[in-house]
Order: sequence, then structure tokens, then C-alpha cells
Amino acid sequence: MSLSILLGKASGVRNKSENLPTAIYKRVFLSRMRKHNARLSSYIPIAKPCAFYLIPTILGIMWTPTHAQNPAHIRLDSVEVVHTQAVKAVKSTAPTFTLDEKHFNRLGVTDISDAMHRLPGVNLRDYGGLGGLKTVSVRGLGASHTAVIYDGIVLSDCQSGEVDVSRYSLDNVEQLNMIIGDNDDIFIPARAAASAATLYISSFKASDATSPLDLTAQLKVGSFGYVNPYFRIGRKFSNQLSMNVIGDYTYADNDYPFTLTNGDYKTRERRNNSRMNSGHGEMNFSWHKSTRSDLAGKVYYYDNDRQLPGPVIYYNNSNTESLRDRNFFTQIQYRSTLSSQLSLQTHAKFNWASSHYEDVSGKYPGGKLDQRYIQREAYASACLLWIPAYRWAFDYSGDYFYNNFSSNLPTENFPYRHSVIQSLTARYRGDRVTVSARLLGSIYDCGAQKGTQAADYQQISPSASVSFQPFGDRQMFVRLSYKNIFRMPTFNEAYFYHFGNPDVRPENAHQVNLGVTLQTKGSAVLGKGVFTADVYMNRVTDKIVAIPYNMFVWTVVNLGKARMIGVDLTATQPFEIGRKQQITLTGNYSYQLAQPRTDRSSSEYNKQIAYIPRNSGNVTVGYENPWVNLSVHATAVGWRYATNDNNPATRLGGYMDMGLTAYRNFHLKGHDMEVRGDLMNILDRQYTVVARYPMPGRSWRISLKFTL
Amino acid sequence: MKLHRLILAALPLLAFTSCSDDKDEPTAEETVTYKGIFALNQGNMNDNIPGSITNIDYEKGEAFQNVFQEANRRLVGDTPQDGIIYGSKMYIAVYLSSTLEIVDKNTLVSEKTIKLTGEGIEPRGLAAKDGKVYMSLYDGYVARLDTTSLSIESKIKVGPNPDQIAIAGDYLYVTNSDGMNYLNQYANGYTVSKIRLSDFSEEKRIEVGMNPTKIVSNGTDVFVIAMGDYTAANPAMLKRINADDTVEPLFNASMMAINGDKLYTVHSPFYEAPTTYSIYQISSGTSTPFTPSEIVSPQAIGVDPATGKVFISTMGGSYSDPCSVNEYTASGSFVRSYESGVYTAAFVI
Repeated sequence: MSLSILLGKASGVRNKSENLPTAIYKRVFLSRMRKHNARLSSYIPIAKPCAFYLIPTILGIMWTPTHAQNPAHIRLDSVEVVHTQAVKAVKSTAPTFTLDEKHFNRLGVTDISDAMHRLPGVNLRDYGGLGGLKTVSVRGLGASHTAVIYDGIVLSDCQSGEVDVSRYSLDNVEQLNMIIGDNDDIFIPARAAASAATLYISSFKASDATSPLDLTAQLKVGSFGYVNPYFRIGRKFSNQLSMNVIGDYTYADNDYPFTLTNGDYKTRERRNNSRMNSGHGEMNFSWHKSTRSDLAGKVYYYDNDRQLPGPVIYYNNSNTESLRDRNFFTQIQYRSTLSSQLSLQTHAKFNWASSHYEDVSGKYPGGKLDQRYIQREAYASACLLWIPAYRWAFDYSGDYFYNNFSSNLPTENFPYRHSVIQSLTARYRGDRVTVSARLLGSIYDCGAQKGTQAADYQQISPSASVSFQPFGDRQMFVRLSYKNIFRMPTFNEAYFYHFGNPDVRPENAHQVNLGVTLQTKGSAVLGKGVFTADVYMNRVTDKIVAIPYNMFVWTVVNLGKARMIGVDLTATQPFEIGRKQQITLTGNYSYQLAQPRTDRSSSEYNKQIAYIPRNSGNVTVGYENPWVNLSVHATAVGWRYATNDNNPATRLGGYMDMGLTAYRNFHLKGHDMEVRGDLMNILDRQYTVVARYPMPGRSWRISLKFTL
Repeated sequence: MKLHRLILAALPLLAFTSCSDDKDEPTAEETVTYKGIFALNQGNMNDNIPGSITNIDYEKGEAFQNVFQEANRRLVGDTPQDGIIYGSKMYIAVYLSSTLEIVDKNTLVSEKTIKLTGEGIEPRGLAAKDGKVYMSLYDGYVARLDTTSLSIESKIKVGPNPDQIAIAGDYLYVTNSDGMNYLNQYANGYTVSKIRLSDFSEEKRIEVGMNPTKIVSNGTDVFVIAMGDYTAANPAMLKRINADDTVEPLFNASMMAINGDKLYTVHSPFYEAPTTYSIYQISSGTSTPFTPSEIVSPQAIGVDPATGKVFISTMGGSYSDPCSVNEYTASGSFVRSYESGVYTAAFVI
């Protein structure tokens, strides 16, 4: 769709002047409002590996949507399971980074995009403000290489291939987990293993309900007309059946001021036409049929009606564009322990998403542009886990999904695609070594009701990872992983009028990672620290790029090669400084050398890929105490370029964004209350992540949460 | 709310105005006088490259970059689209910025910036005669500006999507491209509006073919290019509008520049096909191909009537790299190449 707009604007372009850039921006901006779904499979070491039901869990296969990956203590039937993120982070065979509900306060995380800054190797493309599109790319690969999984099922966007994470409010998130490559969680749908990086968003589960009636209500207010009420009602009907209902609404004017530099002048401007009106509702149920089987389901609806401020244009602050995104899906997940050796989980989902873009101007036919895009997906998956022996586990997963796409454009092709993805995974977990290997087979059958059909595609993609504990009891691990994966062309890339190319092939990525992880033993003062260091190399071939035929006519081809070499470091170290007082130091640093390597004679060759910073990092100091908990955090990002050829005119300077969070919990007549205040960008630095989309300066937010 | 919006919309202007007060006015000694021709560089907004103007003093063989910014300490805006010199002033239509910059033709010091408001706000093409400057507005209008008061007198409806304009005799010719309606094959365009200058009203519409965007005149003869739909099936076609308003197709061309009896044309197809160049003698109706050297991909063509020199801009490595402007003699032999700015899409001569 975005594309449509790209070309919508570009059409004028063709006649010489409607500058393609505008067009491209639209494409970029619009193409990312997409959708969802998935689940978390995480490593959960347990106290006593006894009951057969727990065997999958021992093996690090915590799969059920009904049993949350609660960081602290999870009740799995009668067995207490102690699960620490730290252990997961160090033992994983491939880089795995986790942030949970507790971290959100402790680290002063304000929203999902802020959370992404706390993860190494992650670049968030942020168009600024609350309504601004935010997409996640990992280690220099494009955002469409990152799968986003919401409560167990992949959120898909067949049109643009990218998911706007700004849609998902942290208030409803229990845990975020970023996995780079394939790690040793093997009991997952095949599709969840079909991307270079995977961001798991896990929301509060129906089964989290502990009392007959749970109620959480929260109100947030902040700068630039921001109001965000949120509620969650959980009801436990019996030991088997629980349910929750979630609702939130966000309004924001988003008309934040920014400084525009124009030659020798600096002027203070405001973002215009950026109001956002958004609501989201969800209903979850969980039926814990027996100790051996669980059923969980969800109905989800999201509606965001927003104005688009567009890029900053000199001397022109008016804009009339608007975009309404709606998304409905329903999903169901069932898991069952069939025997002491066999477990099964199945998933099904139906997804509907619509984007409605409007602009008003005398230049459009009929005085306005009215473009509607709808995509649908039906999805089914089954995973079978077989544990023939104590140390061995095997998984077969088979997924099928069907996507189609329609719009009100006269040139619409009405494309569709049948996809079958299967995976076969084996894992061995010894005392000191864990090895897993997977073969992923993909079959894509593409078609369109009109016009040329995109090419079908089949491929086998291997991946393997190993983790080794070299020194006795010491919690130090060396990990090595390899993954080969590809991404299919999006419907825009394959079909979009005058832009798409039905012959375009998938973009291939090879990832190699070598890392060392360590959890220290700690002492009275020094808590257990967790440190990870990874070096990696990614190679991308058949990179899908849009090339200009001339300034006005662009088309999509497989042209590029790219190479990324990088280092990701993370550290977490708590200090116990007194009774009930703890300081936690958390930091990450990433170095990314991301280079186009298509053509030696090109001016892009071996330059830094557009918008990937060479250096970036984050430091957070959290101080927890009986009075007011505090967190100070700073994200620093080095220089970047807006162009692959690193044209000096397109250089974007580095910046540091610093924030301060204070929060406190109260108990009021047996109820929990939490008050939290955030000061964002306290240094009031003017910066842009994406050229021409200024970020807000200093701003504040206050939230009040009440739990019945 | 409405008022609030209005204020917001006016903010950049206000901010700008207030800032102008603070600025150190350039003193007379600092003012540079430019000679030769000017290249309008649209820039590349997506890559954060604003528009700029390059001065090419071809007698000296030198080019000066960012001359608007040098003269005014601020940017010309995003996507300067067209410019003309008329009287002592240069008029620059800045499409995305929605402004008309009026500057001194020699120093480029701005005399007035007209911010377009209401309907008719997207400046596109310019032409001038008898103390008036005419400007097409892509959202469906042509405006007339009085060069004494430097203010817009009136706007009349044309279009859809009027693009380039030209004046011959007592008439203004406006291409109605319907360029935004490409999904429906530019169905509501196909015409040139013939507008009487005497009372500034549309006399008739002349059917010229699909997607007319370019039009030139030497004061008598009018030539229009129907750009087609950028495919081989409907290639760009040069046509002549005769005095009796009949239209005569000539040959394929996608860019042109006129100087007296000579029409220089370039056909740079949007589909895969070689670029061709020709010099068309208007009086004899004969056309001679020529081969200008040093061209990667032509972006714009211009001719200086004073010397007959021809200028063709050609793209750099990418659309965020500076273009080159090549100078040729009237017969098309290469003289020199100059660097210009990013995406040189028009010349002001």
C-alpha cells in the first residue's frame, strides 16, 4: 500500500517534478503499519526434572501460551519452577535477549521502541512521535528479516513485510524476547524459525489470573496531549477455565516542537497534522483441560486512525494525509502431552488487516486520494515433539498459511500466496554441551487474479547452533550458531504497479555468530552479573533493491550483496548496597560494519548501509530502594547516512537520548498501586532517526496503576 | 481547533519572518553578482538533500554552488521546479515548499517570498509577458502575478494537473497533464488550455495527446510534448500546435529547449531504449540528429538565446549525487562540463 502511495505521489513525479523522495517516504512510512503474532518458547530450567509432563520443560521447551514465561516463579502444576532470564541469556546457543515486565520499570522503559534500544544489535527505524511508524531491524538486515511473534503466532504483513511495533503497548506485555538466528528452543512452529531474527511479544495470559476477579486499571498522561487509559480484567471461573479482557485507548496530539535548521537560521517549529486516535481490545481465554493438555485462544482488534505529519519540508508545514489501520485476528492454540515421549501443539489463526490512506488536494483526481488495502491470512500449524531418550529431543513442525491481498486501485492484481513451511529439528543436551540443528523446508506457491503471477519458490534452509560450558561449574558458555534463511518478496515488491517485479527472487541471508557468555557467582555486595559478547558476520545475497530506471520510474530487482560484521556486548550487574537497596547497572554496545558489496565500481561499495549506525549503545542505572525507585538511562547512537553511498550531504549526526524514571508502589487497603513518572530526552537534544522526521525533545509522562 | 490549525500552518512563516529580523542583512560589499545561467537542483528530499541553485558562468568556465543560500543565508526550499528571468528579477517556483521566490536576477538576493495558500498552492511552471508572470499550480490553477506589486492578482482553474506553460502571441498555453491520474491512463488530461492574456480567461482546450507536460514557445511557434505513459506502447511524442490550433505530431521526444528557429530535443525513454538527440529547424521542418558527448543520463536541457549555447544536465552516480551540466555549442559540440547540484531538472536562463 505504502507503495501505492509511493507511486501515487510518484506519478506526478514522472512528469518531472513530483519529487520521488516524497514518494519514497510515503512508501517507507506507510508500508509499515502491519500486524502480528507469535509465541515464546524459552528455556526454563526447573528444580526437579521428574514428572513426565515436565520433560519438555527440562529440555528448555516452555511452550504453552497458558503458562507464562514469568521470570520469577512459575507454577507448573505442583512443581515450582525457577526461571531466571539470566540463565536463559547465558545458556542459549544463539543470542537471546529478554526484557520482562519487571525490567520495564527497573530500566525505565517507556514503550516498545524504547525497549528495542535496550537490546544490542537492534536498529529501530523511528519516524518520530507516538503515531510514527517504528520497525525493527537486526544486525544490519532489513526489517522484513525480523519476524514479530505475538503470543505464539507470527504477525504477518504480506504487503510490506514489516511490522510496526509501535502498535503494541507495553502495558499489555509480560515479556519481550529477541532471538537472533536459531537457538535451542525447538518446539516451535516452523514459521517461527523462518526469519533471521525473531521478536517475541508475550502479553498477559488469561491463566495469569490468580483470584476469581483480577482488575488492573491504569491511566497515563503526558506531553503533547497524550492520554492513555488501560484496563485488564481477569476472571478465573474454575481451576480449568480463566479469561481476561483487555482494552486500551490512546489519544495524542503529537504536535511536538522541534528545531529546524535552514541555512544560517534556526527556527522553532511544530509537527502538524499528527493527531492519533487509537484503540485496542483483546479477549483471551485459557482452558486447562488436564495436566496434559491446555487450550488457549484470543480475539484481537486494533484500530488506529491517525493523521500523518509527513516529512519536514522547508517553508511548508501543512499536510492533509491520514491513515486508518485496522486489524482483527483470532487465534487458538492447543497443546497436549501425548505420552512421556510425545507432545503436540497446534495453532490456528485468522487475520484481517486493512489500511485506509487518504489525502486531500486539488491535484488528485476528484480532489482526493482514497486508497484502501486489505490483507487476509489463514494459518494452521502443528508441532510434534519427540523425546526418545533423556538427552535427545526431536521436533517436526508443519505450517500452512494462505495470504491474499486486495485494494481499490484500478491496477490491483489481487495477489495471493499459499505457503507450506516444515521443519525438522534435533537437539542434544549434554552436561556441558547443547547442540541443535534444523532443516527448514519452504514451499511458496504464488498467484494473482490479474496480471503476471510472481514466481513460485522452494528452498531448504539449514541452521545449527551449539553451546559449550568449558570450565566445570562456572556459568560460562561459548556459543556458535549458523543460520541460512531467506525472505520472500513482499506483494509490493512482486506486484506493485510500475514498481513490483514478479520475477524477483527471495533475499537470502547467512548468519554466523560466535559468542561468550558468563554469569558471575556474585558476593554479598556484588550480585550475580550477566555478561555476553558476540561477534557475527551476516552475508546477504540477492538483496532486493529498488533501482531507478530514471528519477521517476523505479523497479525492484535482485541486485545487491551486503555484508555485516559486528560485535554485540551486554552487561548486567546488580550491587546490593544496603538493606532493601540495590543498584543495577545495565548496558549494551553494538558495533556494526554493514556494507553494500554488490559492485566494486559502485560508489556504494563497502560504504556503510543507510541508516545503520557504526556505533550504538545504551547504559541504564537503576536504583531500587524502599522510597522511590529511580532509573537513569541513556541511549547513544553514532553517525549514520541516509544513503548507501554515504553522500556527505546525507550524513545524520550522532545523538544521545537520556531519560529519567521514578516509580513507587503503594499498598492501599490491600490493593496495589503504582505511580510512575518519566522524563524523556531530558537533555532536550534535537535529533532524527530518519531524515526529515524529527524526534520529540524533552517530554514527560505520568502513569497511575491500580490493581484490585 | 480550526484556528489552532491555521496558526500551526502559519507557524513556519511566522517563525521565518521573525527570524529574518534577527539576520545580519548582507551588506553591499558582500553581495556577489552572478553571470551566465542558473541550474535548478531539485535535491532529493528522501535523502535529506534540499533544493539548491547552481550558477554557471560559462564565459569564465566556472560553476558556483548553492548561490541562493550564499545570497540569502537560507535554503531555496524543497524541489525548485521551474524558474524564469523577467525584467530585473528571477522567479523561482518551489514545488514542495509551495513558495514562489522572487530574487534579484544578478545577486539572487530575495526580494519577496510568496507563500501560496488556499487553493492553487503547488507551483509548477512559469512564463511572463507584459508585466505579468504566470504560474501553473499543480492542484489545478494558473495564477497571474503583477510584477510591480509582486502579488498574485488572480487564479483561474485549469488542469487537471497543469504542468509546464508557455506564451505565444497573446495567449498562454497550459498543459493539462492529469498526471496524478496515471492509474486511469491520464484520462482527463490530453489537452492544452489556451488562455487569453487580455482578460486572463480560458478560450479553448486543444487536444494534444496523452499526458502533456512540457511546452515551449519562441513567441510564435508552440511545441508540446505528450509524455505518454512511460511505456514503449505510448512513447513521449513531440507535437506542434499551429496558429489555427491544429496539432501536428512530429517525432519522439521527452525534453526540449527552444531558441528562435532551433528546437533542441532529447528523447530519453523511460523504457529500455537508446537516448536520441536532434536539432529541429522550425522554419524548414527538418531535423538533424546530433550526439552530445559526456552524457550518462540526461535530466534537463536549456539553451541560452544570447549565445546559442546548449546545456544538458546529466545524472551523477545516483539520485543523491550531484549532476553535471554539460555545455555545447549551438551545433551540439561539447565545450565543457560543470558540476551542479543534486537532480538538476531545469535551467533558468
